Amino acid sequence: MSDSQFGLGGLKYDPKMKAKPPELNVFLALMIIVVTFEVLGRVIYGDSFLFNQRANVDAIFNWPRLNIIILQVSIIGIIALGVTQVIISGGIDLSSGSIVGATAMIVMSFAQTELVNGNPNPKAIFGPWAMDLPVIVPIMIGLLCGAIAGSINGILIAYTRIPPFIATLGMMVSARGLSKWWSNGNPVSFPTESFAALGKGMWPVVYFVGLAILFHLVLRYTVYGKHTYAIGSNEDAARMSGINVAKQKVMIYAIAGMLASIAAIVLSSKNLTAQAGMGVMYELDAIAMTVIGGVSLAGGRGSILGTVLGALIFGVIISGFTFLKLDAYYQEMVKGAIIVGAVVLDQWRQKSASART
Amino acid sequence: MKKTLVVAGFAALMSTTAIAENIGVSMALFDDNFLTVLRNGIQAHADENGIDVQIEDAQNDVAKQLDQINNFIASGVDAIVVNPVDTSATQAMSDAAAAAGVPLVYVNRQPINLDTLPDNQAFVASNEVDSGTLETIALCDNWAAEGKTEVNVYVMQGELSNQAAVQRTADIYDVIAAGNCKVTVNVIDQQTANWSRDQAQNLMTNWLSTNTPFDGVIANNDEMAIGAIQAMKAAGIDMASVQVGGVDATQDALAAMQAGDLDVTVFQNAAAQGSGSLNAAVALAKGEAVDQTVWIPFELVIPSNLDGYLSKN
Amino acid sequence: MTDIILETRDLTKHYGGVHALEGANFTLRKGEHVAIMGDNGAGKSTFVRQITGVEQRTRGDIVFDGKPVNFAGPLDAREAGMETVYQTLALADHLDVSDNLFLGREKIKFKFGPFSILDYKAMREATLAALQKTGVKIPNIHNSIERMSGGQRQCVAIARTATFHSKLTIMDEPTAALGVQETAQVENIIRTLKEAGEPLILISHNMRQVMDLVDRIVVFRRGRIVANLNKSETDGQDVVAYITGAKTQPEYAEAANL
Repeated sequence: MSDSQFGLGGLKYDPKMKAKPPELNVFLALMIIVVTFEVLGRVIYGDSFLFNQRANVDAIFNWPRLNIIILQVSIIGIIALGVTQVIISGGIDLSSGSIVGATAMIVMSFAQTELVNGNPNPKAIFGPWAMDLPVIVPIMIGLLCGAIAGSINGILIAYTRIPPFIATLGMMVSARGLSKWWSNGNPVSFPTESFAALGKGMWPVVYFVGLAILFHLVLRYTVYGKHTYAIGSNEDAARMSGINVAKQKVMIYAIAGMLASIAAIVLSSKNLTAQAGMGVMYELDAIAMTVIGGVSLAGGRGSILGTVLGALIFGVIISGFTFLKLDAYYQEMVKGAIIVGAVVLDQWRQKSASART
Repeated sequence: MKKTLVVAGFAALMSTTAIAENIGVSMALFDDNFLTVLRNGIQAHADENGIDVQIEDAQNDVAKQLDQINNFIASGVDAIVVNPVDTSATQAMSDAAAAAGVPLVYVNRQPINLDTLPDNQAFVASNEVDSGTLETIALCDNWAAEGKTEVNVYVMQGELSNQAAVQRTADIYDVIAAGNCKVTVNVIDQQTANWSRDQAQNLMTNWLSTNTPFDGVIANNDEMAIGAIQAMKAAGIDMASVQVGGVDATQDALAAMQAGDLDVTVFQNAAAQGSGSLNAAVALAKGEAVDQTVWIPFELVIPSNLDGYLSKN
Repeated sequence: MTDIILETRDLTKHYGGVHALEGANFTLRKGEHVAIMGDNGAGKSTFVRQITGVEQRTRGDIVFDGKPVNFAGPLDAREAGMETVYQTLALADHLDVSDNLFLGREKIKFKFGPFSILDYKAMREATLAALQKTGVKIPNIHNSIERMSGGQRQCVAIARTATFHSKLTIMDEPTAALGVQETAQVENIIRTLKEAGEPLILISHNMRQVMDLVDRIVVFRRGRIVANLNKSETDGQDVVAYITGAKTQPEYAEAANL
């Protein structure tokens, strides 16, 4: 009976039916953009985007450029790793940028150094007891801030009917208010040497890539990862299958909050300051990187790799514009067009792929 | 007897409210470094002089700011002080205040309708023509003192929708065109970093990756200048070999100047702008005549005189 | 040693003033395939919801595999060995066959709380075995199931039964949304289950399907059982008469008065 071909429509095992990974489209978009800048650079300025032009340096590539391409998107990239998980689970998080701002203010207040150029710190928030603390203290405080903010988001979303858009919007506004209130709008500056060392040089890239690898493995190989995809794909099915959806959501948003706070630590360390306005619009850039990377806003689809490629596309665009000396007024418009273009390209390729099956 | 007491009490009440002026203040942003100092200046001056101020945050939203103005008018303030979000959108605010007969003073950012302000409206600020000019001339003097005759520079602009960014950048070119610079200046590239330290740091790193030799960076504000400095130091550039200029004279900038990284900045007297605008508002509320445009001068800050500015911002 | 896998006595469910289910006495023996039929609102789905623990009954007893049970939720029922295949399918479109089969019950290589490492190899092997056992043919089990036909997806849902050694399978309108070929595919699998001696409760509107597959038919009308028929002793027209109320079996005479 089980060998019967009745009603099977003549299906056989076909290795060609294995679906192509969607990240391929994003990689293609990245290559097209890179090549475009390279060609334009050669044609207009006789200069190369990617390759080394200095005769006295023995290198094939222009390493300072390649480095800044990824460095300048690493901080938002770290946020995007959390946003990726949130969107895959079918939710959205608008509060990342504000969590960055609030965390930066709080963290920096515990990372200050007593003497600046031999004078007392003009931006001291607390008294001497909070000065020159071991660097682990502001780090732990930062992670705690992110975990608390993210958990509040998750609990509201999991246990009430408030849609994620509204719940995280509320956090976005409240956290920004907290940033401004913290020191009455005054910036907090002059951290200790050990804190400043955290965000120096290429370290932001190391954190970004390291966290990307970690969460790639988590999403693919752990129960938490599998359940994240399941909830995003069909929340009812997940619940009916015994997954504790509420607990899972709280975890996802808490992790996103912690990643935002890590970004805050790196950002304030790299810039040696915390300002109440830090992180504004970061959540939108993070969402854009994620969506360009192939993560579907409807949930259930996407990967960390895609988001990293999305971040690289952002980085290439920023550096490309400066390289071509594109008038600042045009840059925002062209960036918007590229974002939409990359997503349309990805959707078109997905549609034609399913048409072939 | 009772009636007389009530009337007397009422009259006393009315006269006391006429003594303490009630001023509504709408700030463009609460989380901007410079504007915070301005706001603190307004509050301090108000506290010292027994003036009642209600300060609102327009959160960089033009529509919200107009709503705040209308709310102030409706709650019967004696005068309004506005730090405009968008300097080209001030006509609507002027019209609303004029229609209600409420005096209005613009502070720090030049409204587009400056020439047609009604009699009971005024403007208190520092002239952005001076800020960029002082900055550029001082940098030029430094280059000349180093013995250079021709320099290549990068220009870092603030948010392009801000009049300050536009004017300070224009000042650079005006100084050159008027022949007020002792050296010849070539601008390699001009980009915006939106007043942000982090964006400036990334922009500078991008510029450095082109390996173009340069002699300095002229930035529209201190935050961007500091970002540029951080990027240059990370790339191992000796700060003594380049000139970097900013505007604002914030605490962070003065620290950078003490460390020998920042060469020129310009002090914008936020406290004086705050008290000046409040004084003008109170005077207009009392029906007194004021100068319609009050310029608070910019002050050049260089290593030799920076000690005088350490406590001001 | 009883061979009754499921028994309900006086099973009743009221939603406020609405008597959706009244006094249902039902028995199912091991290896038996029983169809539950009735018009819309007759109480079929309500009956299933009570025995699978989705809702709590108002009155009555449920005895499953010889033991009285009180399921707090559908997961308890599943753990006890009752698998339900819903019409809407509890499947996650973007995951593959293996993921869906083991959803909520993943096999683990290293236990680490929520971050336990999945054992893909074991799950893959179990999936292939289950598919073989139920006779389901899938070209590539690593593709996400959204690329599969409705029939294949339904078969995957049924294959969960084979994977988890359930004691009772309940199917609620499994082929209602499928085409002819796909319906045949699913019915083939149901026959496989019959051959293996697995008991089944099948809710279906499809008379032809019911007459083809099951041993016994239970008819509901207005919240009560009105007929309990052996397939060999009845035909399609007869069953329809019970559904519409034209006839009522003498044992259930009181239901006729409604």
